[in-house]
Amino acid sequence: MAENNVTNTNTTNSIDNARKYGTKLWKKKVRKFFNNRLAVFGLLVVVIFLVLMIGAPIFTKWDPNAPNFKAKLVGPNAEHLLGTDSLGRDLFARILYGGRTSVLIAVVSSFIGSTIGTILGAIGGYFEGFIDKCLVRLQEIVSCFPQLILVLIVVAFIGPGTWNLILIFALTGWTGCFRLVRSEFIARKEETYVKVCEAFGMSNVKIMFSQILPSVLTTVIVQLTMNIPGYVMQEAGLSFLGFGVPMNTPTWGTMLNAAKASSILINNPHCWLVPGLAISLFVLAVNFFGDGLRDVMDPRQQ
Amino acid sequence: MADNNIFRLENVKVWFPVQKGFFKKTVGHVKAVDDVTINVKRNETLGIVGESGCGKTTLGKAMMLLENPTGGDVYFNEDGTEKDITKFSKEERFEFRKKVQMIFQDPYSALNPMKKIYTEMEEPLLIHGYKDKAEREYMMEQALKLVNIPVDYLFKYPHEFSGGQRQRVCIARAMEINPKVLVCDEAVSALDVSIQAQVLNLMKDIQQERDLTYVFIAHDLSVVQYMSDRILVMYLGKAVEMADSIELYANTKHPYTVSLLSAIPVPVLDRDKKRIILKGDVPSPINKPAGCPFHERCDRCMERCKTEEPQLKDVGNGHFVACHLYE
Repeated sequence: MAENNVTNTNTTNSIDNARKYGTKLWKKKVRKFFNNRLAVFGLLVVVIFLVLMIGAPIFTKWDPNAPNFKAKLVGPNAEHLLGTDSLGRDLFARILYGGRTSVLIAVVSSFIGSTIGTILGAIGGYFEGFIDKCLVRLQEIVSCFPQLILVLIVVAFIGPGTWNLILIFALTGWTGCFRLVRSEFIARKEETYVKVCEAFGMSNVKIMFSQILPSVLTTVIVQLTMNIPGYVMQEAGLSFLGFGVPMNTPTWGTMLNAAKASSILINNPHCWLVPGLAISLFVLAVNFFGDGLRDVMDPRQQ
Repeated sequence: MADNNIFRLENVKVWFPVQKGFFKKTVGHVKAVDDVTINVKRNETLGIVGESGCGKTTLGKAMMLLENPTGGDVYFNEDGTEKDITKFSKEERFEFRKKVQMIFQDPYSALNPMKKIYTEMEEPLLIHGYKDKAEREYMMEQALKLVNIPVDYLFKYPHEFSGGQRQRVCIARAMEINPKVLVCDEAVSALDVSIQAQVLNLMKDIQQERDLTYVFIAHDLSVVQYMSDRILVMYLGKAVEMADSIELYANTKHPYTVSLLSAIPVPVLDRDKKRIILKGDVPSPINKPAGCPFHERCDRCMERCKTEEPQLKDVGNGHFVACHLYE
């Protein structure tokens, strides 16, 4: 017994020792990511945006919703960094506070959509058969249904709002992820390592989520980041039409909406240029970041 | 005699339905394994040989419960009582998994590329209830010692290993829960020849050390000859001949086995050895010929072979053969 204990501790020591010198795949991946200049640029811009949005009260003294009729439609100057809109609200403050809502909508709906898609895709792809057929039909119905109609219905019955928009985006946005995960699962469940786990008596749920999912998850994460710019644009579009977030909440879309009068379009281009540029820059940055992430995470490129 | 068998297969059939048309009507079956009755003795190595698609792997999988037999019984006898594994409950299946393990053909896809060897080797132990971390690590190290892989390799990813190392990791992983039977499905055919010898010798050593029973599936006849105590020859889902390794090579009975063995390359110059080259192709396992499955290609085919199917019969000396010539 005592002897057994001694060997036990020895073993643990040498294994612990080996653990220190094991391969650190993460370090390699991080290095590879930082070698990609566009991706680093994307990450940098996203981080700057996020810091500015989260710390908005530190970076601007203006209230995004307080009108100032003494300074309507002034161009960028020292007092108002990016000028003011037709109600004299500071555009810089509105970009920062509005970005909070825009990015929140995009990130949360992308996240929820991907989660739903991943879980359903995993179930469909792994079990196939009847459940899979039902899920595929459901996916087809959802992706055929025009999103705008759904938005109109929700706005008509519940009224416009941030969370309503997130709900709609999440409920219609899971289909892409579903198809991706399902096809990956169908391909991967035939791999020998899945059979090995079966032979060890591993449960289906464990095989799905601890064996197959990790390798699929990298593609899902990339898909998730790639979806974010799409939702930013959609939010802007719907808010511009007046179906998205209520006008009194600043978002990049409602800012564009507020600048749609023809006199402003012609005489005060900074009103629409500022939110337009913010959207473009953010979308571009997230896309670059997502591209870089894909190059690093995709297991086929190892 | 019966006590000596760790596995006994009785009339095992594994059929896969062939579906056609819009309503997925079953129009036939691929009879991958058709009416196979064999036994596996304790601590022996049973080699299974045959052409591609003759049902070797499917038979192995049926013994592993990875494929549910369409018909027949598979008896497993670990502690003196025979149990039919096809009728196992979920719990019994789980217990059975501890005792029978499999080594798969392709070591390149048998390890999850996303996981370190440590995680891969820890999982089976976790599943089978080894809660103490130190104990798990001790068992992992013992298993790795068995296959001569240093402990440092635990913290590497599969892509950092060569094929031979991967296969040895797979063997270690199968061995760590101390199975009684190891089904090796073409365990060395994906490796190159020098590594093959290394892995085969290793497997022989492990067998002696751990009192293992091997079911050794291969298509390489020299490998099978080297490894096996007894050999089963399969053709088109049927067992056609089964005998002790030495007996089979010295006293070949079935015409199919004769032609199969004549194809082994012999490294001797000027040796006048007649090769028997078979006519035609293996018939489709969906529409098997009536009578003996081999009669269309057999050079000693008789009228009787075309109608009546021969059964596997003992022709003395533990030599079983399914052929009308020896009745």
